[in-house]
Amino acid sequence: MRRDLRFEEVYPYPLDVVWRSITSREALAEWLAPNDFEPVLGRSFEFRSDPKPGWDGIIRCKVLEVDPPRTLRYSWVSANGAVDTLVRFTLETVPEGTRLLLEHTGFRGAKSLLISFLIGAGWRKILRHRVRATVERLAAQP
Amino acid sequence: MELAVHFKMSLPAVSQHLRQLREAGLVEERRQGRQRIYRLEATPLREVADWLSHFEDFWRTRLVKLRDHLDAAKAKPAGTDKEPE
Repeated sequence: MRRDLRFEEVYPYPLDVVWRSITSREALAEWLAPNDFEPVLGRSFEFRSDPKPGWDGIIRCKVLEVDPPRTLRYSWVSANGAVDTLVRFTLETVPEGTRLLLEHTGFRGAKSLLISFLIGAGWRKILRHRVRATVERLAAQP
Repeated sequence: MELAVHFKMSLPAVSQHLRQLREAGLVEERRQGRQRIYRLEATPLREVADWLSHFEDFWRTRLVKLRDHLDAAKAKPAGTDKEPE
């Protein structure tokens, strides 16, 4: 099973502009989620999305590395700790502008998968769907 | 009991989760004397085995928004809050 996510994007803008967009509270609110981020090592902050059934909508984070204007790393914990992961942004100047590398790592195996089933946002829907399918299957039996 | 020792939660809590999994059709329960034997139902699990796709979609959507944000910031003259026409 895959454990890591990795995205690479090139933006036709200078390094410092892209850096601001991943470190400014207002910018982050615009493209990621409302937050109380501060680019200070050791600082805890939260991203807050709309709560969904089974999920409070809160992602709890802590700045683990901040090296302007190139590297930003923070912990990313949600769903009562079932998702206990790391997010890292790495910026690099390229001829076309700025390359952003986004890595979301630390997803564990089946244990957190099972717990996520029960408390994660998307999984609730799947479970409900499954329950209905199971009920319908049972109802169809003589 | 054997299952429960792998989790940092109480036995009743594990039972509760197992019951939900069973109701959801994700595990099958069989009683053998005082023991309950659980078997994983592979098919529904396989449907979501690639659970990272949830986060993959999340970030893909967000990175498109980041690009839009950068484009809008570029188009917007400094010091104004008005959206470009």
